[in-house]
Amino acid sequence: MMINTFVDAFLVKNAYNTNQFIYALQRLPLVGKLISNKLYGKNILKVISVIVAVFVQLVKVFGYKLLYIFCFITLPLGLFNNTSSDLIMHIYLFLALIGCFTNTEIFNPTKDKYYNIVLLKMDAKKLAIVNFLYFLITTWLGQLVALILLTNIMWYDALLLVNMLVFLKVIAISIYIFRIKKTNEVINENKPKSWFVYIGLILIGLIFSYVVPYFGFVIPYYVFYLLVFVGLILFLVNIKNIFSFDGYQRLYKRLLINDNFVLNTSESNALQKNTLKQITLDVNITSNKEGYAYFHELFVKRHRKILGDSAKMTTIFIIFVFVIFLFLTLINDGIRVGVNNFILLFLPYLLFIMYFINTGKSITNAMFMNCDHSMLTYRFYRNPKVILSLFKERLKTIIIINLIPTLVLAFSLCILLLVSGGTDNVINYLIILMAVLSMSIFFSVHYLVLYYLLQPYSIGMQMKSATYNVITIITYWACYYIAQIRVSSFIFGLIMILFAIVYTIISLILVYFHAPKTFRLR
Amino acid sequence: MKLVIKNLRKSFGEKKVLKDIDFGFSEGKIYGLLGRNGAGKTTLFNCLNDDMDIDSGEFYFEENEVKHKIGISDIGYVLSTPVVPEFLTAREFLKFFIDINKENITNLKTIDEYFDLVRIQKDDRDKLLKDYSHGMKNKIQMLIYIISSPKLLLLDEPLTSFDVVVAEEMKELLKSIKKNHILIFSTHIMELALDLCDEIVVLNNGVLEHVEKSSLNNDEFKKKIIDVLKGEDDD
Repeated sequence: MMINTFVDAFLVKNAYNTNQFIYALQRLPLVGKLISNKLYGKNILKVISVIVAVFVQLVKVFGYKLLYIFCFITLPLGLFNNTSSDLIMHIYLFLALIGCFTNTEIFNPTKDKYYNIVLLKMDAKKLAIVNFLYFLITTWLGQLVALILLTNIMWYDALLLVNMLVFLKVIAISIYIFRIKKTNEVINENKPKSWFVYIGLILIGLIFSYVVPYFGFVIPYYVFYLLVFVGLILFLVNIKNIFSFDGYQRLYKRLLINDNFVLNTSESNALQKNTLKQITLDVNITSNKEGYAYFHELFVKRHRKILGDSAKMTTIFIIFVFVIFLFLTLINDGIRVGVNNFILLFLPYLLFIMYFINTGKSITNAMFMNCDHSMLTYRFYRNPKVILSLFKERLKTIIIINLIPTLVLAFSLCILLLVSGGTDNVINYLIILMAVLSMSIFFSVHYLVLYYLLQPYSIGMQMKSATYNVITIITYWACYYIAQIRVSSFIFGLIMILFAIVYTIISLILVYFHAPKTFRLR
Repeated sequence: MKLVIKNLRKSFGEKKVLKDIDFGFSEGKIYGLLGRNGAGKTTLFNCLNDDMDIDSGEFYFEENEVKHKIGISDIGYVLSTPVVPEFLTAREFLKFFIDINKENITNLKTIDEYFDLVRIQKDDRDKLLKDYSHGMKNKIQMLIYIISSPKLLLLDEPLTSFDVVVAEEMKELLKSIKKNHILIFSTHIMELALDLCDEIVVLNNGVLEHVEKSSLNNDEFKKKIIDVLKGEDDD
């Protein structure tokens, strides 16, 4: 029975969520000592966890969809100053087209699937279909509610739109399944064969959604109804492919082992294999350096992909957003004035953005998984001299990797400021540049220092320490609250630069004295 | 020289794993550390290697009644699951290790000579460690400590992953370096312990206990060890 599979999968998820929660509690300073292992056997927490899980699902089904419709439809419509139904349908349709290939559920390797299929040997086909149906139903319902609440489209049009979404998702899966049958490749929605094509197609989709209507072309009603009709026919033709496909087991065996979804548990071997897959392991890469520098250079060169990819993606994204704003600034007077005023008040927000952009956290992650995890078991590696020398090399690397998106961002802001009317005080440009730079350096130092002082992973690469998580959350909230401050870029920039300098000096002193004691396996 | 452990205690939550370890290990001997599954052998090693904080007690080297602190380069620990930096080749790893430990290494040989010592084939030397088998990784880990020759070598089930030929080679290698070293060798395999080790120490109920062979023959000795392991020691 399908429903049994669904319930089983839910219970598995619930069990490990509960256990992770107890485990994390035990690692809290002070309180942790009071929590006994017996708690794992008690059912009461599992019941609470079910309630929490249902709540989380509700947030996911309705909250996320409301946010999605608001950000991608309601907001842009405000910009267009146009709330006609055909524009809404036009935008929604193209977004759905992007979504049906990038958000498939079936081809998303998740921790849940890993547990259920690889570890617990559940029937992959049943699980895939059940998950997909749940995904379709919740998306359908969530978006229908969001569309009716957040746009002024009629309910029957909203119904047509979400139905179309379901049609498109089914057709997309069917196309992917066709590809699997034909070429025997493993499809992973998070890892397209070519990022260039992938991002290119998304961009084209976005251009059709937002830019094309700007020039007056919007899909007319009758064409839309025709498209829905064609969608329905294709849906009916294709739906059976999903149910009759027999390759799910094989697909997941390959998808879940070769892939790099991150597990937070002691499945260290699987995890290690997965992270190692991301490495450019090319023996032809060499280094002429000596000692620590030699070791570090080989690490960086052989992990170029894993270390640099997200910075690269961020850079592309920044350029993309910059081009949109540049375009809007040049064509619309209102936006131009807005952009000009905004940039001069923008730096506090920027701190928040930089928080998300900085790759320090994922880099320290990679350092642990692929290097320190094994090296820290060697006593010589914990020699204070070794620790500090490597720390220095690593700090340089993290700062440099983050410098590229940072500089692009800083110059984009300066250019936007310039084309939107400039500023009375030329020093503003310099302040923006320096402030962005110091933010980037601040986060790079922050994450590496946290890693060296708290080293949040255990030998089995188990969950992070509670203190580490608490500090990460504090960092987030600090950035969030600072973003609310209304102060000119000039003053904020100066404060930021000074703060970054002081913070860096203090952290380096802390690392110098404490890291030799704290940087070890937990 | 002796390794002295005094009143070492370690517990995890309510579980007391090491209750009161009090023992002296002498230089020039291989000690076989026997204990049942979960007895705390690895915990003891982790404590000695400073991977874990101990609850109380101390351990140090003692020479002519003088205490010495155990320095970083004084201890080597070969883990049962070998961990090596998988992104390096064997040669690169050795080069890095030798680079930063130069001043602690006496009579340094070339990297290839070291490879010859543990019989790692020529075409494996420049392969990435990620492609090494379990046993070969173990060899590399062992080799690191043969190069740096720390006074105290802790070996956690190291020979179980080797094939019979290599296991024999490694046994000979360990016997050849036992002079000037203290070797503590944990294992589940009684025959291996009896064959290789000079002394048998049993970890049971959180306490270390030396099992005297005295005049017993091998079978009697085995029975005695098993009795101790079962906690039926009636001496």
